[in-house]
Amino acid sequence: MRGKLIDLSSSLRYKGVPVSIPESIEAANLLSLYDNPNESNKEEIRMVLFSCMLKSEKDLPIFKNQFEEWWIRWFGVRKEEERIPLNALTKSLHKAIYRGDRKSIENTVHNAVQQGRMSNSEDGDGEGESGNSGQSQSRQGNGVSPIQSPQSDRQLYDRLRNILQLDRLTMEVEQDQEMGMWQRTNTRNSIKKAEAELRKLIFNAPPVNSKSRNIMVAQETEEDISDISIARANFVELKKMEELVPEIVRKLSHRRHYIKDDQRGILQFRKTMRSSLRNGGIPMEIVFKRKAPKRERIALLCDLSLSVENFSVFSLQLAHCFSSQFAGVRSFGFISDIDDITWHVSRSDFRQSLPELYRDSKLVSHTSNSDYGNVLRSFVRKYLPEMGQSTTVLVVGDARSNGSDPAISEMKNIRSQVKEIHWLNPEPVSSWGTGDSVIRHYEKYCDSVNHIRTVKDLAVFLADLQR
Amino acid sequence: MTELETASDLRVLMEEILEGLKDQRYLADERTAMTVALALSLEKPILIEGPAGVGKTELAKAISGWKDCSLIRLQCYEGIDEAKALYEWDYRKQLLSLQMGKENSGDVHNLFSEAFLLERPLLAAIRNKQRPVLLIDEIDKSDPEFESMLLELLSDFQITIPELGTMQAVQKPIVILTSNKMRQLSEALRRRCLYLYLDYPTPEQEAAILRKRVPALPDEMVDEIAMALAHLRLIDLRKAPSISEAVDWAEALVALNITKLDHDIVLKTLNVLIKDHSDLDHAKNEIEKLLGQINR
Repeated sequence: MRGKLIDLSSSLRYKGVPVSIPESIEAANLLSLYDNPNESNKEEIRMVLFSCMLKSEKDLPIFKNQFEEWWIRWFGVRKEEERIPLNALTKSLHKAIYRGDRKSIENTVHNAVQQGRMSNSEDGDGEGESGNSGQSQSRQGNGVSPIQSPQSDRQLYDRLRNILQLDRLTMEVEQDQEMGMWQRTNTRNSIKKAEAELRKLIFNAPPVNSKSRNIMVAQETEEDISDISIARANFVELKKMEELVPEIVRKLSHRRHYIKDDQRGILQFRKTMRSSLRNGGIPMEIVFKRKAPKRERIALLCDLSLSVENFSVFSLQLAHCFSSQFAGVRSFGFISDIDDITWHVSRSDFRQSLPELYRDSKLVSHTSNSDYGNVLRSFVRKYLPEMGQSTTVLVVGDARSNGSDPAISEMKNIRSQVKEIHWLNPEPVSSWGTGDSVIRHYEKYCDSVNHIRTVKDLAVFLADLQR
Repeated sequence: MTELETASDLRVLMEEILEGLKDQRYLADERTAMTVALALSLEKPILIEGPAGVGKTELAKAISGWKDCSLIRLQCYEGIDEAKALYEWDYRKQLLSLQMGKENSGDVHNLFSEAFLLERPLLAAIRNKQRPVLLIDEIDKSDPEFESMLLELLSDFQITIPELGTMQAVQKPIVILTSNKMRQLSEALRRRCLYLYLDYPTPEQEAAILRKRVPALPDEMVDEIAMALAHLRLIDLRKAPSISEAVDWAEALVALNITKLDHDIVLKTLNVLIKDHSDLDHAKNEIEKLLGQINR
């Protein structure tokens, strides 16, 4: 029984849930109370293991999955899910494609191919829709079908393509008028991805069993996320990246906490003597004057224009994390005019209130394209008086001014009034200064200009900022 | 300590807890009972997380009521330190006794004896003769340093006082920590505890709780209130109304002698449920829809 539990705890650890040795020993002890784990006490065992192995509710979904898989491995029968008919798979594949969820596309296609193969080897003539006809057979023995001729591979491919209705989906996507350009490109890519996966699984990959495959997929996504370019990320990846941001910012605040300098100032003789009277003239409590704590202020300027669409979602998330972790943070959003969005981004439900942010803030003046010159002028006029020498200004944007005057003197003006200016640019260094990019003009007034392509870049930048 | 021999022992203990807490007017779900059962048998602290007002602190009170033992409460806040949580030397008394000692040739060794020790909640919990319930409330409000200081207590139930040595617990207390997730707690602390996440209840659970807590409330009102609460939590509010607010609301309605929810009454009593200006405006717009759904 204990060996089995080690299996569970190691797979949890593999997924990033910290399970310590005492915890798993405890869980093993409790598990050994059950002589005969079966479906009837499964829920109870799940609760027991949950309370002693899990220490955070955000790990709950991982735990549920891993527990389910573990249960199947050791005690259970296979889940119903594996025998879902192919047309149900088609539906879930289409959903996954619209969502752009790479992992679930791969898994669904993989399931479909497996089922296709199974029904192939059972009833040679292959009726696609009845792929679940052989329910009682054991899967282990039959997961890999006997050697197949290229002929049957081709047939299988055509049949699955038909069943999964990828052509119809492509048509639908092309004809859908309401779909945004960004979404359409993403969906197209996802369809291609699904097709490629199908081809790969049928024609060339050696049959892999489902367990090792899952691990493969997991590894892939885990190392990827912080390395994927933010501008190219699809919806799901972007979501995952956003989840990384609070962690980075939290680390920052933690270090800050320890770095804070000694707040004791000069000795206050009078107060010390007075308090010593309580102890018969012995100065037990020495009273110091408290230094006023040095306040670090951050002003975050986020470009919310269309040219940095993906990135702006991301910089808003950054603004949200900053304002929830630090007190002196003010966030500004701009397109061709600038407005204070601190209130919006510091709301706890800021995700849902994004439309409000765009509606209530005055981000646009004369054009809906970004106009850095006008933005800087307006910033200097409206907000610079509130900034001080302790303020660090972070600008997140591509510095593409659409041909308008970059107002370099205003940048100089800002520089003279604040402590530091840092520029975070999502564009690669090679395209700085090309076309309407005015970053080269601003560069000399910035303390640093950084190319932020991935979440990792951002983490590195913030760590440097701390130093 | 309740030794567990078989799985059925655990179930028996769970039932006992469910019943016991029910007598204390606390309706626990199975997961809560299971966690408490494990905590009692493994002698481990419980870390409870969840939104404000779902009964985290109440659980500790209910356990102490059920076990009929004292509840020692330590309210955490920013800047709380050892002197306020563990113990403190009563230095004034020490000084006085020193000055008296000048005349009477006193013994300096006695200065750091228990006579001069001021007990604070954690030390009191350790030294209590009867097994107490120790509630460390809102641990997330304290500093990380304080959290680390607690580790010795939580894993070994002992406190080290340099001048006196290590004090072992007379009776290992039932420790309950609560957190509102203001900040992330350290892994070291989490590892030493059993974890329980309390969320807003389902309408059925809520109705049961209301029945228990506000017996004067007519039956049909119970369901209406529970439904209204469930709908209110679906609206995008900054702070969703919690169970404790629901109980307050029910009590208010009973006090006003109301037997049927209508638009006017909800509007007038909404401030019992919702404590935020913009949320109030938001919720007011939804009342019609809310009542429509309830009466359907």
